[in-house]
Amino acid sequence: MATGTDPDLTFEDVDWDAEQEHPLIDRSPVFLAQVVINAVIFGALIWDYFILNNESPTIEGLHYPAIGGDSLIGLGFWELRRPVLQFTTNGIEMTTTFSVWDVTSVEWLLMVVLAFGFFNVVVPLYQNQRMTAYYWRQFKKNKAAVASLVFLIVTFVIGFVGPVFLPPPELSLTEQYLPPMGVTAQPPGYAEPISGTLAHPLGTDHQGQDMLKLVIFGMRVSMQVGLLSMSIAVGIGTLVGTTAAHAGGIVDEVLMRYVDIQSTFPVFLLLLLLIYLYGGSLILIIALYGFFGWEGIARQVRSEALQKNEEAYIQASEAAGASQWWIVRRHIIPNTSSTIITAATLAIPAFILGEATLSFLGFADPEIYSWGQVIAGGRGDLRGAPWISTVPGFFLFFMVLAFNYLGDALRDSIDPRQEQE
Amino acid sequence: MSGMKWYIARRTIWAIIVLWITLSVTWMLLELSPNQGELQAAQQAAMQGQDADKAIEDYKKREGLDKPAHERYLSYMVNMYTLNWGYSTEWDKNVISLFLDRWPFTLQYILPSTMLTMLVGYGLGLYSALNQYDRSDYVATFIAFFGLSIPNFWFAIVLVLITAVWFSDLVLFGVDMSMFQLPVFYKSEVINTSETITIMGIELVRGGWFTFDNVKQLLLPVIVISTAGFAANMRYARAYTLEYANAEFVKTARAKGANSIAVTRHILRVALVPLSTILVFQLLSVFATGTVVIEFIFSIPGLGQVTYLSFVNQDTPVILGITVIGVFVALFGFLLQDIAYVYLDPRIDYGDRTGGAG
Amino acid sequence: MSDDPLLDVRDLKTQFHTDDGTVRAVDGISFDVDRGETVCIVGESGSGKSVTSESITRIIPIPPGEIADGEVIFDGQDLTEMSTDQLRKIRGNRIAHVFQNPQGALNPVYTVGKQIIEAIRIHKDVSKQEAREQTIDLLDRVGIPEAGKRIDDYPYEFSGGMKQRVVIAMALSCQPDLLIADEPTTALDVTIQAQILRLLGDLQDEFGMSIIFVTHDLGVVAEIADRVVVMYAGKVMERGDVYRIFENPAHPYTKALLRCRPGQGSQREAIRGSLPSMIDPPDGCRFAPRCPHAVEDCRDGDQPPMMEAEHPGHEVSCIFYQDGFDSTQLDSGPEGLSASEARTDGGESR
Repeated sequence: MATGTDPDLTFEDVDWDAEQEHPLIDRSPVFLAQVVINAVIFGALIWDYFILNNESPTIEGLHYPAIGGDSLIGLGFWELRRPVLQFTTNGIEMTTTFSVWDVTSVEWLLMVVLAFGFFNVVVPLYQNQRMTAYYWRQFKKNKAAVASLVFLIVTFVIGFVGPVFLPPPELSLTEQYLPPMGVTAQPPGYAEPISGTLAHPLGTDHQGQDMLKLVIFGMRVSMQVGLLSMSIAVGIGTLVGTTAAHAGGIVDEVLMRYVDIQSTFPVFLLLLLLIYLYGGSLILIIALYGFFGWEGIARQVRSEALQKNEEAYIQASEAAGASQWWIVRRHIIPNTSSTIITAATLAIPAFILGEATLSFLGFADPEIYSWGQVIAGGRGDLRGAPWISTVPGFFLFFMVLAFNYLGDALRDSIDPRQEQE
Repeated sequence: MSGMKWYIARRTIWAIIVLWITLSVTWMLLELSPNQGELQAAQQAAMQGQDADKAIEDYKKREGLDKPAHERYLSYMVNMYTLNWGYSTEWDKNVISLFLDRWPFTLQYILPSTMLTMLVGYGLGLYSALNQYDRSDYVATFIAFFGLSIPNFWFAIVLVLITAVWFSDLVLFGVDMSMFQLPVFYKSEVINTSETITIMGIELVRGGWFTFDNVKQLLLPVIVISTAGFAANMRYARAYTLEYANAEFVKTARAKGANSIAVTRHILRVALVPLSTILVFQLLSVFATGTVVIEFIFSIPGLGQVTYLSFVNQDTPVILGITVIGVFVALFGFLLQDIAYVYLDPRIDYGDRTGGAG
Repeated sequence: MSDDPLLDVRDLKTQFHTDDGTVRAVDGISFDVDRGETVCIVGESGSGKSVTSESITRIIPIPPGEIADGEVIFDGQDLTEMSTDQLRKIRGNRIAHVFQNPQGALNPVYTVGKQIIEAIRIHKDVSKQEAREQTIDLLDRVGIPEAGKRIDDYPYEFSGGMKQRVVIAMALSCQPDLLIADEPTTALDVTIQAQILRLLGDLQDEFGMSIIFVTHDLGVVAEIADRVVVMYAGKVMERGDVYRIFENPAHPYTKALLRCRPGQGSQREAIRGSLPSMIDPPDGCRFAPRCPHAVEDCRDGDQPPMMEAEHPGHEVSCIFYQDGFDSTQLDSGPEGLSASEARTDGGESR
């Protein structure tokens, strides 16, 4: 810095306030890129909602009629729209492989979250390659976790790319209860046993919807719920936890008392209550899990940060005159990141399971292809068509299992307390 | 010891305050939401060709909604604290007596599964930690991950598929599996019947809670609801046992010549302190969701089913009652946890805030 | 009673199996302890001195630890041959331990009385009341005021020094023949340190026990040791009478250690470099990579055998004491030793 380069400048000459304030405005290219990307996303969002009106797709390809869920009280803004792939020309029904992408509110949120994750997880890992290599060596030892990571990446890609190119599952009265490929069964309504074919590799459900498509569309919903709720919960939890730990005194007392109250209120009942009051759209469920699921994370982060507060480098920083915000941002959050990342990974499966349970019980948005809903739909046909209830459940189970394994392995590889002496 | 009494008294007062806050929040939420009764009244009036506005006004008067907000709030609070929770139109019953009818059906499977999750969970967790790197540790860890990850509603369906559907015409190793077939739906007649059977000259009443038939139909619910709780307890017990297994005081105990049982007791006694703070969270999160799902799938007429149906039928007094009970159970659980904590950890500083999984 | 030593450790090897490989924490060390004497095991952290002390009664965690080879002859019996059940009758009864950190050595949720009574009743068939009276006597003996009242207090109600006294009382509860103290004063204030050392000396006179004292603090060694074992990287470098070692250190490592002591000469010197890998230790003398006098032969073969240096009973593992080498070369100036760092213990006193 200036002290090193200018030989005439002595210790006393340095404007320490300026030196102190300077790094707060981070002018690194990464930070600028982050600002630009976020600006683009928000700009596009505003463009979508105010310039184009709600009825038009964001990326226009074909004209299509709007399908929306019923406008929900106070939430009409978040109405769900989906690209339509069947259209009628001159009275002939046609199916197109082209798709319009009308970006939904959930997807906007997801873009913001992915951009944030990229700049705050991927970029730092790339910048600190030696640390990354070390973590990777630790992580690699756990074969189950590596398999989980691969499985999740594949699921993530299929879940997000699939629905953009695939037409959504269609109702078909002629193709109900088709068994999966290689399975011969006699489903309800059939006089003789039939075998599954390649046309529907995982069979069809009681409405003739293709199970594979239902699974792929369900992947997207589960991933959205998991990632978005987690981001909200981890964001709030980290902020509250570190603030409570670092500020102490009355701030700590008030924040943690609130956490007590929130953990007293059974979240599931609260969800049912709010869904009863305002209806169960996907964005509402995501928001509810995010805003009412952070108290555990806040507690963990607080206790971790309290320990870190006692460390000498914090005292050194304080002695050097660093501001409170600086200490929280530059010392406490980075040093509790192992707790935060582990809590984040373990929060995802909890939220995914929560959403699946809600939709299984029929409280979620019926317009959404949620696995829970498909499982519930096949419950009456367990004898004749057991694949309807079981197939999506396997995917749900493996997704949750993979996140749990991953979280456990992350804890082992980045938590210094777990190290062997 | 007076410090301890004062501490418990403070925690109790705090519990009452939290109850008051949550009741107030619930009231506000209901105030802000559209009133179903009001809409119904209006619809009915419109269908019968009457004035909808007048019908709404009548409805409001009947329900006391025309009074100012503070009066309504006060009477709501008084009703809540005096257990005057209103009347369920759906069940045609007083809300309190509805709950009184139904809670034994929930308790009959919650109680055994709580015992099961604690005993088996802690036992296996302890065992697996003390045999770290052993094959049994890996097996136990795998079972725990299985239990943590499997969606309970799907697990229930798979178990039903196997034990009720497939067992009906499956012969395994020459054994007709249909004798192990389990009922899918809970039949409350089992409890109310007074039919008797005679076994070896002893006359037995068939109906009742502690009968073979009742246990048989509770088997699947207990297995399903125990799985998640057991797995979580096992993970925590294993983690805390491992944390203390290499502690200095354990080395001291071994250096004294203590045998493995005594050493295990040293570890477990200390591990119980953090475990006790997690247990309540653990049980509450499993039961709050678990009872609704389990009773929905197996048609058990307990509080979970009442919860589910009250939301489906939008029966506001019951929803309110269920919410209050949920909060109350949670508060009571946390209070018990605080008290247990006092007895388990002599280091507790009564002035400091406690509770909450560290 | 015979003239045999109370404890005779021969070629002891203790290993830990980890994901990265087998850590040879103790790699074939030998020493003995006579009745009533105090032997100090000295070395920097990671040298294997604590593992040595915990291998004697096998309280290292097994697995991942393992006593791979060697004998530990205690009063004529080989402890390594004993079953765990047999060994338990010796632990706490005839061989007692005191550990470094008194904060952690006591179970926080039991009263100190309960923990000492437990120690007594494991080995002696006495009633609870008798054990309690003995405990009060013990607490009184180690200098805890109002022992009758304090017996029902929890560990957190004692200060660090008082806690260490409680731990010592617990170790003495069965009048052991051998007390193994692993850095018992490192975590304490200097004044408390002196009190605890004096207490140990008094108790040794009273009970006539032997003490193995593990430390990195040469000041403590000078104060209490009869004989010294200098360890480095899992091997014994030098062993002998405390006066000989302080007056005429033979091994270059010992010489360097003594030079690092505060108040020794005009400058304090650190030993350049750091401990070698214990998974894949270097050939030849373990200290050779850091030794200013190392020659080609030092980096070949195994650690040199123990050889007599000048006086009987003073033995050293250094090829300069072999025939054909001149050990006086080791006394030449310490060129190559840097004077920049002041610490030897590498952050030992956590």
